Order: sequence, then C-alpha cells, then structure tokens
Amino acid sequence: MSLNKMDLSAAVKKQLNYKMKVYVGMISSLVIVQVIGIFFSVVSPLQGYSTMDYVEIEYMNYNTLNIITLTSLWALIHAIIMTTKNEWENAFPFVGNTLSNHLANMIFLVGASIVAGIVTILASFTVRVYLYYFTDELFFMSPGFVLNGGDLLAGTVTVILHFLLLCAIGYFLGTVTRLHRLLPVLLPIVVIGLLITINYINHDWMMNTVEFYYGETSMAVFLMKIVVTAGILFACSIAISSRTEVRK
Amino acid sequence: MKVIECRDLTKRMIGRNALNQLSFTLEGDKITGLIGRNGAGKTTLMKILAGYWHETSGKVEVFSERPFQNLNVSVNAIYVDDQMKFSHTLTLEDILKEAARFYPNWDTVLAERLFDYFSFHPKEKHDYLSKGKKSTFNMIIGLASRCKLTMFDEPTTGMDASVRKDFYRALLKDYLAHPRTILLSSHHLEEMEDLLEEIILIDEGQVVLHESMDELKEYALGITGRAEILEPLLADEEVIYETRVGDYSTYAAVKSDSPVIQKAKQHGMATGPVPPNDLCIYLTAKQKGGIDDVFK
Amino acid sequence: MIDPSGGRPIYIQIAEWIETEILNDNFKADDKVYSQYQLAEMFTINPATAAKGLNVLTDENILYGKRGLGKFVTTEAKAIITDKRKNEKLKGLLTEVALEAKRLQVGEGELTEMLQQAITDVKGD
Repeated sequence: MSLNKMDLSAAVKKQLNYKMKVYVGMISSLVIVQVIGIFFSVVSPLQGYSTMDYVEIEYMNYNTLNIITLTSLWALIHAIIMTTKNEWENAFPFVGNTLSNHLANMIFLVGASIVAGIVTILASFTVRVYLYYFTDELFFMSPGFVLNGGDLLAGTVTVILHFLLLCAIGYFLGTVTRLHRLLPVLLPIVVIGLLITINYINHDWMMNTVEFYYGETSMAVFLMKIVVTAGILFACSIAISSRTEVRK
Repeated sequence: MKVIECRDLTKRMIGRNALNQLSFTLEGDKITGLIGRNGAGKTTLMKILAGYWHETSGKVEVFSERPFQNLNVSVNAIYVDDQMKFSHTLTLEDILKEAARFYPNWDTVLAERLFDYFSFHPKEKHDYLSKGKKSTFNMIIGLASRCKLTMFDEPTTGMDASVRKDFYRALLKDYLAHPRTILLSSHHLEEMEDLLEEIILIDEGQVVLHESMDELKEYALGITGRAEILEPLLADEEVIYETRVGDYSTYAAVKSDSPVIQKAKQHGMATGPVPPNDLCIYLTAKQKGGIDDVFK
Repeated sequence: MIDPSGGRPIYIQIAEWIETEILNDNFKADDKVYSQYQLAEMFTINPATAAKGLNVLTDENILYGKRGLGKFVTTEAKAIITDKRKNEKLKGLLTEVALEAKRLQVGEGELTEMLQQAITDVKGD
C-alpha cells in the first residue's frame, strides 16, 4: 500500500460535499422561516389612521420586512450553531483539519446566503401576488411594488449580502465562544453591554455603523464593504481557532 | 520506512503530564498492541498520532510529518474509538458512502459484507445504536478504510464474546491480505495477544516496555517457594512482583535471566512462565504487592 | 491444539503442531507445509509468530526452504523429531515424574510398577 496525498483544495471540496448532506436541515428550516414570514406579512400589516378635513383614511401598510428579519435571524443562528462544539465534531468528517473544515463551512454559508436571498425575493413575490389578487380594499401600489429588472437584481444582491454579513457575524461570535467554557454565557452579556455603553457615550455610533453599510447608495461600494467585513470576520474565526483540538 | 516516531513526546493536560517524555519508533507493517492501565496515556498518544491533539513538547512524526492538523496524515491514518460521532442527519448507509469518498483505499465490498454479516440496517442512525453495535460499526469503518496507519482504541468495548472473536479474526484476515500498521489499544491483552507481533506497554505517560510478543512471553519467570527460603534470595535482586501465598509460600516474578532462578531451582522450587497479561499488570502496578498492600 | 492462554510461546506450539502432523504422516518427505500466512489464518495468530515457528523447524533441519516457494519437509524430518521428542520431551516428563514421586515419597520399586502398569494400559487400548 502506498501513501496517499491530500491537498487543501481536495479536502475542502470533499468536506463541502459532506456539509451539504449534513446540513440539509438548514434548507427545510429556511422554508419554514419563509412561510412564517409570508404569513406575518399578510396577516399583520402596519395599520394606520389619518384624517384630512372631512376625509378619514384608514390604511394598511403591507411589507416584506418580516421575511427579511426572520431570515436574518435564521442566518445568524445557523452560523452560530455550526460553530458549537457538538456540531463542529458531528460535522467534522473523516479526513480534514480545522482550516479545511472552516473553509468548507464558510463556502457553505456563502451558498446558503445566496439560496436564502433568492428564496426571500421569491417569497416577497408571493406576498405581492397574494395582495394583488386577494385584498378587497382599495389597493395602492407603492413605488417598488412592481419591480423592474435592475431593481430586482439589486434587491436580490443586497439581501444576499445582508445574509452573508449576518452569517459572518454569527460564525465569528460562535467561534469566539469556543475559546472558553464560560464564553457562551458571558459573550452575549458582554456584547449587549458594550452596545448599550457605546450607545450611551455616543448616540450616533450605532446609527453611523448601520448607515455605513445600509446607507450606501453605490451597489459596488456596498458589495465591497460587506465582502471585506465578512472576509475579516471569517479570517479572524480561522485565526483564533487554529490551535483548537478536535474530539476532546 | 518509519511509520511513527516519538521522541520525548510530552502532552500536558490539566495539571499533569498525560504523556511524559515518551519515546518509541514503529517501523514496518506490524500489528502492535498499545497496553496500559486506565489513564496511562494510550488515548492521548493515539489522538496526537491521528492529528487531533497537538503535543506540548518533544517530537512526534507520522509518515515523517508532524501529524497535528496535517491533511496527508489525516488521509493515511484513521483513529477508531467508541466516541466517534456522526451527524444525526446521516444514516449508517450514508456514513459508509461518505467514508468511501474520503478514503482513497476504501473497500466497498468488505464494508458491505461486514455490514450485512453483523446485520445492520442501512437506514439506522448511529446515535441509536447500542454500545456494542456502535463499536462494531466503527470497526467496519476502521477496517474498510484500509489506512496505512489504522488505530483502534479499545475497539471491543461493549461487544459480546462472539463479535469480539469475529472482530479479531476479521482484523487478522484483512491484515494478511493488506498488510499495514495496526495499533490496537486495550487493557485486555489476553484476548488479543496471539494477534500481536509486538507490544508497547505504557504507564504514566512513558514507555515501560517495547518488545516482540514472543520475547514478552519469555521475559519473566514465576517462582513459587517457601517464604523463608525464597525471600532472602530475592533480597538483593531485581524483582518484578512478589506476593505471599498463604502463610508460608511466596510467589515472585523475576526476569528470565535473573540469577535467582538458578538458586531457586537448586532449592527444588517450581518455576513457570508468567502470562503476558499478568506481566503487564505487574510492571505497571503502583506497589509491589498490589491491592493486598492496601489491606495490610 | 494451540493453547493461547498457556504460558508457552505460540511459535513453539506451532512448531510442535507441525511436528505432530509430520509424525502422523500428514506431511511426508518433500511435501510443502503450510505457509506462515496459512498458519496465521488457521489459528488466528500473527504471521510473524507463525514464521518464527517455521524457522525453528528449519533451524532443526526438519524443514527446508525453497526460495519463493515455501517450506518443505526434509527426508530425515521424522527421525529428527522422534529423536528430539525422546531426548527432550520424554526425558523431561520422566524427570517430573521422578520429582513428584520424591515429593510423595513413592519408592523406586513402586514407581517402576506404576510405569509398567501404564505401559500395559496403553497397549491394551
């Protein structure tokens, strides 16, 4: 018997294939999240009431933010779950190392973000179709109800990038918690505490951060910002766990 | 070619050295037994060799490469124990298919035949297997992967007597057809000693003995004789184990080349071989008299 | 046949087993005996141990090797084995008998009588 060789790209490829089998549950949970999102979008619109002279207007504002919010949570939570010790070991396949396992996970999350983005846009169509045919009240289409090709593409890419950012944040936080037994409890407290403190010292900080990413008007720059941020978070995740031992 | 080389290998774990300046070299395609008491460092050593854990200091090489996080070692070495975990979304059938994709030498026919022989169901989940069944299934992966370095850590945990027998026979037959380095850890030396070409006895993170099985069988001799004659003979000599049998007799194990043996024979005392399993227990005993000393 | 739990090294037991096969004429002069791998499989033992057993017999001129073909029985094998067993095994057994007799304080005459009785018994079989 001669010795076999295995290089990183071959290992990542095999592991990615493995992850797709192992994490099929992620897709079914995505579908459930989307259905719940659609349901909320349809049954609980923002209700408003306004009067102008003798006219009273009662309106219902339907939007698909619910779907995006729920799917964001889905992305964040799944990325965290992937890094938990139990999942890490269960999904650690036969041949590989920490780096190849990270890379396979990350490529998988990029793929998952793309799928989630597309599904989210499709779900928003479902809501549109429902509203168009099934609401009997006076129906006003807000700008953007009918999408043109450019908007559609930009919207899809934006949602995908948004999910990718959340995956990267979740993955990074999850990896950090594995550094010490107490971190799963401490980290959420520290993170939330920090956010509150920073917000107290500098009111605009949070707004500015959100503005930095989501206020961006140029698609190319937005894409750059997200990709670089996600890249840094993923790289940090790899760096801090390079000495991690598997199968304790 | 050197398969394994350890030099002053030390692994520090929670306040103690699980491996303490351990050194040995393994060459050629042999079946080697890794013997030692609980906590002697068998599992730690194997996990370092498999690349799961990193060493604290010293040198460790598998196929002339440092194993930690090494993909070339990972694909050529497999570590099988009863803690192996697989994702709960995979059925047994899936697990075998996945293993086949990862290991270039995987033998699908052998895996399927063993799978059927031990009557597994393809749709079963690994998590729900009984302890013995889990060990049996893991054993199938270990054998079918045909890794150049195959490590079994307490492979027979939970297996019943007949499966244990089948396992040893399957291991030997596959080894005869495809010679490779097999490292078997166990504290039941007696049930696998015929299979082994050599043994490495470790205790407190160090190699106590690295001998061929045949030499181990002739390593020591046991002497039984009247205490008042035998005990003075043993006084200045190296004694492996010594205990009182009843009020007047003493049993002692000494090295086969010990001068005590000739003297004992002159006194008409009975000598006999020391079974390897007993020898290993004697060599790693915390005190010369064993548990009896506690009750003195 | 092969007793793994006994303290005696397996390779010696393997050698003795082949000797007995030769004494029983299951292998005749110039017959090929089992290879180390066949022996390993037959008795579930390590092939290195089996090889050692074969080598012991080769050293004693009971077997001879043909390069790449295996081990064969020499013409004088049977004679060597018979001679060896007489000198070693039988003598050893008799020494033990003598020792045990001494421990039990059995006299020379009584012991000879017992031996003669045993011989008659075996003949009677």
